Amino acid sequence: MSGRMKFCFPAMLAATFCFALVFPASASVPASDIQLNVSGAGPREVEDTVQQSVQRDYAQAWQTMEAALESGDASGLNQYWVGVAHDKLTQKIQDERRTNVRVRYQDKSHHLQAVYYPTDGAALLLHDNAEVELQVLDSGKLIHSQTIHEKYVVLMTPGQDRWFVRVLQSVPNF
Amino acid sequence: MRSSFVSLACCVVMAAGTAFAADVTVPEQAKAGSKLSLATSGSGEATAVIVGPSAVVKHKVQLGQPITLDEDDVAGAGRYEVILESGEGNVAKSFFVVAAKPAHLSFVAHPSRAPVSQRNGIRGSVYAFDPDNNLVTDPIPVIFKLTEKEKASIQKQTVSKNGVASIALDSPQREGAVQFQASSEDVNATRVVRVVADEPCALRIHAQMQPKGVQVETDPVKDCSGNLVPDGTVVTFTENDAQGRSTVDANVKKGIARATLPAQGEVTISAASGVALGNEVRLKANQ
Repeated sequence: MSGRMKFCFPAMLAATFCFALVFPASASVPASDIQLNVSGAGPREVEDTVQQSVQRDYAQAWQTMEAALESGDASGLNQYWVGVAHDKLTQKIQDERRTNVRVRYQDKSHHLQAVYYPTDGAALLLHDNAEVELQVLDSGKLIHSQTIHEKYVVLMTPGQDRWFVRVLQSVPNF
Repeated sequence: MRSSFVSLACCVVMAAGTAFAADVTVPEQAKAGSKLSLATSGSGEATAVIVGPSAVVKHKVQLGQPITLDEDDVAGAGRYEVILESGEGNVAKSFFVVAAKPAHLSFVAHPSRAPVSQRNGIRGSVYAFDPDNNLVTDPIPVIFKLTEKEKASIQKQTVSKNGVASIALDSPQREGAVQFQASSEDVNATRVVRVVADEPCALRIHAQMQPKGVQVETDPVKDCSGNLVPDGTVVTFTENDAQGRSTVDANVKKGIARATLPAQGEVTISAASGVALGNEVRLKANQ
């Protein structure tokens, strides 16, 4: 084994370990498994490229949210969350640290329905029928675990190279 | 006799157990940002953990006494999980908090510069948020108003659906700044849309001989509503003479486009801008 390999191997092991801590084995829903129906959205037709981006970025947004809540570090949220949704999650993470309560979300499935896409393409309003596993830990002890079928109203807005989640709000019904 | 006594004792113990089991009562739905009191039952101490969309709260509670949640604890709209940890085990209940009345409108007007007399040329989308920045998803009436200077305004009312209200209005016939306002109950937001002249509707040109060639210029170039087209609108002058054909692009300045064309002999000059074609001018140039 060369000197460089000797150095790299422990580093790779450490990186793998850290990654496993942040993203546990039961990973989030991949973008390819997120169902998006754009029929009925309007007045502008949702372009194919937008559909692909939204699926990819919404999946990534959930991953960063789950990782941020798990790790208690809100800095990763900047990648896919903006505005109200970003502020609310940041507040929640601060509360987690203050109370020593950890909230763990694991999204199992998403069925997205685009409901409004304005002519200027400056936003996309969606409904998400999601299945999410929720775990609550108090001082490291699991105190609650439940699979919930949640209805989310989602507002996404485009950035330079991706779509950001601006509003993620669960509602009793659509 | 003895078995009846044992059964009775069991019933008493079970009833007592039921009466004092830790529990919490939650509302089916609550308004965001309003104080909330959750009744508890049982005896002894417990810890209540409340997980909401934007808050995680932990309270020590005396069972039998209500859990009081402040406005900030229930500021976010969405699902709340209430978990009561006590010596008798954990109890979990959930309820929804929905957005309160609109406090501000996120109003997107498009475009910021609209051509005159365009059907559905000005569009607006309104997202209503409550004081705690929750999207108001319940249907609310939204009035859109388009006001031209010194003119009656156009007003239309819609009802929001899925958290958004949208409208498409015809742009006015006259150019200038218009106020585009959206309001719901006592909140409103205003944007300014600049209505600009459309493409030229028709072109008229005239020409005269100059020492260096033919100077050609347009009459004031207007759109079909009679507004002068914006400066920078391109008018293309085409000249045909004995030497062949030549073209010159000229920008409109203060409504008029001008150009000087070299010409020899019999000359025919025409002009075009967008879909508008001008008249032809024929003259005899200096040899």
